[in-house]
Amino acid sequence: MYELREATRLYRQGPSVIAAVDHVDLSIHQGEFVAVTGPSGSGKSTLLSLLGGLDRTSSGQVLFDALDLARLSDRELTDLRRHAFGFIFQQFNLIPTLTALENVEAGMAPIRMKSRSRRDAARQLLDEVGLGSRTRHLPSQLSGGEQQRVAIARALAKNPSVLLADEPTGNLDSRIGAEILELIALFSERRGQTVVLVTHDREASRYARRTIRLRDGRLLDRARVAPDFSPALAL
Amino acid sequence: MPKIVAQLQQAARTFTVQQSVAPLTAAEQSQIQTCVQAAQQSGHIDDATFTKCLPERFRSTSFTVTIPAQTIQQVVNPPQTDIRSTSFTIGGVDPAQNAIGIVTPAQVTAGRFLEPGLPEALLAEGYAQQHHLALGQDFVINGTRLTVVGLVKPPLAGQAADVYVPLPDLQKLSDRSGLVNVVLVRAASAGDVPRISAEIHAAFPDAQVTASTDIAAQVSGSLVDARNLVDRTGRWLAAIVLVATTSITCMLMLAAVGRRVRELGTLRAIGWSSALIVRQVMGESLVIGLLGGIFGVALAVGVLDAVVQMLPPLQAVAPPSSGASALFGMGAITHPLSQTIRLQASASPTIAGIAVLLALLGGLLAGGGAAARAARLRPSDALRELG
Repeated sequence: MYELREATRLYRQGPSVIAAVDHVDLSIHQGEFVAVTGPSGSGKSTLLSLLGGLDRTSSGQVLFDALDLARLSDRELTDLRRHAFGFIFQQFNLIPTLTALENVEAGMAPIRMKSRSRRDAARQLLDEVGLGSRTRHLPSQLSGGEQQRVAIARALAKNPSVLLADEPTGNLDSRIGAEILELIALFSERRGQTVVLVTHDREASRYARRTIRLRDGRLLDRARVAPDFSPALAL
Repeated sequence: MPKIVAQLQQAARTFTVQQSVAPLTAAEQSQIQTCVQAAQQSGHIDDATFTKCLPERFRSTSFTVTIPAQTIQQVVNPPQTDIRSTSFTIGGVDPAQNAIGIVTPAQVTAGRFLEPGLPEALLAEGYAQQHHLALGQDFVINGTRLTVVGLVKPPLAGQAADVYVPLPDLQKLSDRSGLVNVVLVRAASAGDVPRISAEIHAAFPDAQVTASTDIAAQVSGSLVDARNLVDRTGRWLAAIVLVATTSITCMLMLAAVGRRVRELGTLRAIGWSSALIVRQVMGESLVIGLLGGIFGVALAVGVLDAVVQMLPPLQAVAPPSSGASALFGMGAITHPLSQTIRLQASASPTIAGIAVLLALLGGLLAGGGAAARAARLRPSDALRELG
């Protein structure tokens, strides 16, 4: 599914240039649950942005289903994010003025479908994440764990092939964080979705089939490819 | 009030007083004999010595008082009367020539105009109100009873009086038969006024010739000033309306734009296209602009009303006329004529509509700026800002 070849992302910081992701070679298969760990500033989030088409490589390639994301136009990247990628953020990033149901609907807004169908699907998703009775609540009326559940429902709304989660438990206590990770693992397994989980939490990596570690933008170990991975194991 | 002095002349008078004296007692007689004998023995006895021997009450039993002639002056209290007097100005009108005069039928606000040959009077509205006089009541002047048949409103620029009666009656009442002190002349056109004024002045060198334009200038000068002030105030207030509405809109939009980076970055990340985000932002901007415009206009109308209420009313005043025309009290402006002008600065529907349109335009501009930024926004940058 993903093939990273010498993927590099450089940032200019004043007179110096910093390599947030430095010549990373990596393969991620369909249905794989990959945890990306490393200290702050190691390039985890930048790597996730490259995988999600939110950012482009300075050099090297990020291939998604054989498409070089760096070569795609903005519109093509938007289409890809619309259909293929689902994002889960540390800060939840819900629209504060929309209810839980509307936030989930917002994830489907770019997709052409009848508003009734969209609403029904959103309600169904909220029900699945355990918030069927909180659909009309604003984010400010929900706990952190509930907000992250809404964010998961929003990410799942368009049934993406990849879930990209950036520190999804970073703002939650350990018990709620574990519940969220279980939820992500459950849905991704049920739907055969690929998950890339950026986390500081060592416990979080327990849910992953493979953990890769980054430091200063470089991969630290040899886990570039899951040698024994087969889609059947992930299902 | 003059002092009243009473003068009394009194002639000279002489008074004689006679008194009855009690008779001598035995003791007094004995004392007198002893006193006389003593005087005889001393060899010096006369009337004076004898008088001294008498008791006191016998020494002066008669006297005369003479009062010389004199004049006495004394200020006395004024006499009390039931005479009441009121002052008013009065003008004579020729009822047969009512097309021109110091008052004409066009100025009658109640009742009717004078009819020739009838003992009737017209009253100025203000005078009638002040003295509680109404139509049909009698108005007595020097014993002549006139019926009030109409109320009039004198023009602001012109000659006015409190009471208008037929000219012949007024001449008779004032013992000035055949006399007038004001002659009104109407020119066929405004251009003739200077020439006619000059001719009248030449024919009657002692007369005061006043053209209507002179009187009008006194009043309209004030009115023009007031009008200019109103216009200037209105323009400033209109500008305030516009500034208020556009400012409110821009403030709302700036506040909205500050929030949008976080939301827009998220929306971009989850697959919203630039066009969709621009459409969303512009739609919200239009709604905010419209609401801001309506709110701004409502606020401005409230402020305008408050400002107008706080402003003092303006008065245009024509001072009383003086000179020859005031001699007879007829046709002179004996009371200052004034017109009160309250400043009216209201936001007309046109201005309100323009203000709302401008607010919408402001909203579109502000929203356009936000939308343009959103369209250029790279999701990774936006999300990095979030972190």
